[in-house]
Amino acid sequence: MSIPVTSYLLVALILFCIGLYGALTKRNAVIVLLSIELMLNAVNINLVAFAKYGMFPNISGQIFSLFTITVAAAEAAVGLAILISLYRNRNTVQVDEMDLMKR
Amino acid sequence: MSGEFIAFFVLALLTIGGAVFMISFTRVVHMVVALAFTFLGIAGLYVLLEAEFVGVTQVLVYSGAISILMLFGIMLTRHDATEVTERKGPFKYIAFAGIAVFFIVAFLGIQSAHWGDQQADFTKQNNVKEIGIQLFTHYVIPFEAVSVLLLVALVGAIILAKKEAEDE
Amino acid sequence: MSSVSKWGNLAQYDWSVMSPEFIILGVATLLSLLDLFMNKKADRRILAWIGFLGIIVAGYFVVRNTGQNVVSILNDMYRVDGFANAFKLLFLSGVAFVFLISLTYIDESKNIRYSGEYYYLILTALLGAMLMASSSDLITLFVGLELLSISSYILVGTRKQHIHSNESAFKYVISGGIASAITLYGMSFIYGLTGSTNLYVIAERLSSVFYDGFDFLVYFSFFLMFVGFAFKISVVPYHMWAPDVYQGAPTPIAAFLSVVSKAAGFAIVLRVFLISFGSLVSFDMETGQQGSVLVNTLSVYIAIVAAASMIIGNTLAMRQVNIKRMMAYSGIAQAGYLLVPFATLTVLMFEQTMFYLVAYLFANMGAFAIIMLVNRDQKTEDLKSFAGLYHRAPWMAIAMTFFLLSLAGLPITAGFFGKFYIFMSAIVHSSYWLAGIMLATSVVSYYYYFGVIRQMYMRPGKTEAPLKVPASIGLVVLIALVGTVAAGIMPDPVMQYIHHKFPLQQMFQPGGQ
Repeated sequence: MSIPVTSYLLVALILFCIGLYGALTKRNAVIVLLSIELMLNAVNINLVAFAKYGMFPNISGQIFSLFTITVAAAEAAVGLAILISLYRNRNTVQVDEMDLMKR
Repeated sequence: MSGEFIAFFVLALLTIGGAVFMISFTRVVHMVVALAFTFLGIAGLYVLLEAEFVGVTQVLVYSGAISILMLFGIMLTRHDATEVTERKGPFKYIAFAGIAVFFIVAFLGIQSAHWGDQQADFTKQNNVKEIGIQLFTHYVIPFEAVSVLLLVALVGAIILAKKEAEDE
Repeated sequence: MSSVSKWGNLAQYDWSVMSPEFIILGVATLLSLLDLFMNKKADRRILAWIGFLGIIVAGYFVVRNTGQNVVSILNDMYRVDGFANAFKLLFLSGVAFVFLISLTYIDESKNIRYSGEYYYLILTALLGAMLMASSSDLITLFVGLELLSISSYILVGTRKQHIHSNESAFKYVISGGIASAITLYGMSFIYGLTGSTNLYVIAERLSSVFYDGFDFLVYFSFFLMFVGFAFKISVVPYHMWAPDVYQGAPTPIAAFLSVVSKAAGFAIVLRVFLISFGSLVSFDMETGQQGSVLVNTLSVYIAIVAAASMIIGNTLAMRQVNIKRMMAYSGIAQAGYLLVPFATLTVLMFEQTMFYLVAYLFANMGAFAIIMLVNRDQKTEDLKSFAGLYHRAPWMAIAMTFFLLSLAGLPITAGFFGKFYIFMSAIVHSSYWLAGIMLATSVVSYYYYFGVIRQMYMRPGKTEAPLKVPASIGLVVLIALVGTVAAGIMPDPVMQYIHHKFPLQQMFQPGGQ
């Protein structure tokens, strides 16, 4: 008897929801970026769990998760670079102060 | 057998606990450190799922690179940044309610499905070798595309974050 | 031993069908090297022309691929079919327009300091879009999507000194990141249910698990993926980013996002959902009737999304004073119209979508070229910058009128027939409510499109000085105008051409090994 796949999916779901909540409500831009990483991590747990316990388990889930990790890292780097160029001009990292374009 | 359960329990607790602390801490630096634990816990879960290579990559990329990158991001912007007040107004509660509904729906969906007992046995072959073979034969096109993507991210990060020699 | 046969495996494919992608990749690499070794002060415009040439050559190879049979590489990891070729031609012509507009836009001393990077990042974004159009594997599609997205995040932020540009780029990254996480979460369930990333295998296994109590998760993953893709095509659940990003982005990039990036989004939406969900059949226990899930159930939700996008896009566009924001809301509405063929799923749905996209390409590129020219001259993005344009540059004003008429869907323009075909598809499908909303929101849209026209002809401008039109902008406007009017006068040949040269059925033939 091994751990049912549902428990892994549940961990992933909780992480996904926490990440989504953080991305939507946090004010600090760095934390918002980190929350997105958390959501992507949740996806990876899903993929790796399915690679072992899915309906048709095979290794491509692990490979998919490697691609996701790579892309997520690239996205984080670009996001941070944009944040730094924003900080130079506006001297803020608070998301709710980014409202110059409201109509 | 029960060892696996204990390991899963501890790792899941570490993973979710780190994420919950990340949400509730006020100092930004503490948040990043809490999340580093989450990333480590996830790496442990991968090992439990017999995905050693993904686990090692997780430690390298997330616990290592991304956490440090984010710490740098904080140091380069505001050292003492705190989340004193979260976003004001009802938005927070609306978001919370929406996500709670989403959680319940997804939870019921996952619970109600019969996933069966089938499982892959990755212990027989060398995990790294198997991934390598797949990556360089079947997945060679996305692999090359990802290399372009990393190059793009590199160039982009440099031109965006580079400090200009003050506007001449 | 096995490694030898593996090499044989890779060499057996006809890689020459990938030459459009190879050319774009090669030109992007060449530009990055040239940019590195060029004198810092040297004029970077030569790079744009090299890139432009590369796009033309790639276009030639795509044309050479059209009308052929399906070619599949590595079990549909990459495939050439009518669907892919049609979208690739659309992307290539869109990017060619963007290059021509950028030639005038870029001013090294003022806005974009890294113009070399700017040009080759557009090419890598194009490469991502092309991969999105011609793969039937979730991993390749996802990597293509991210290549397009990440390149566009950077491009939006390239006006580094401009506060709006930084802010909009950051908003774009955040929205894009959340969107791709949601898409991936949906994809992970699809993978879990089918154990494959190949769309044809997914289609096969999805119908079997659908009956094994997984129907809820199938719907769940559909909605997650749809919400994620909605970000790329900027329709309702995920449209909020568009106005801010268009406003902050350099104008040629706004044009790029509104046409190429949106079309790429449609490519991935149609490909993923038509193949993997298209053959899903539900069985009603009580009546004993079988029905396609996509046609019976999911299309209702798509129709609702389409209607909501039309309503929200068109009503909010009326209140805008910034022309780029107005175009963004107009783009949301247009994406809503474009979803209608997908919701009604008539026989000609692909032809209708393609025709509308072509009309939209010409009208939007032409409009953005003129917007860029006027805004640069007046140094403001206000709607009022168009005041008196007729007296300053009559031809530009007339061309702009045609583009706006086409976007509004009025006769003798391509947009009219685009909307007409889509409208008819809604009638044939007897979705009268959808057709009604289409009609009503189109009437609403006249209000703001005519607002611009009124400015051009009836309002006195600050200056009467003739507006100088650079050759590249003139070329873009001319081609776009000819295209808009020609397809508006003779829509039938265009439809016939799309129908014969880019057969949709090819999409459903698995390449298989």
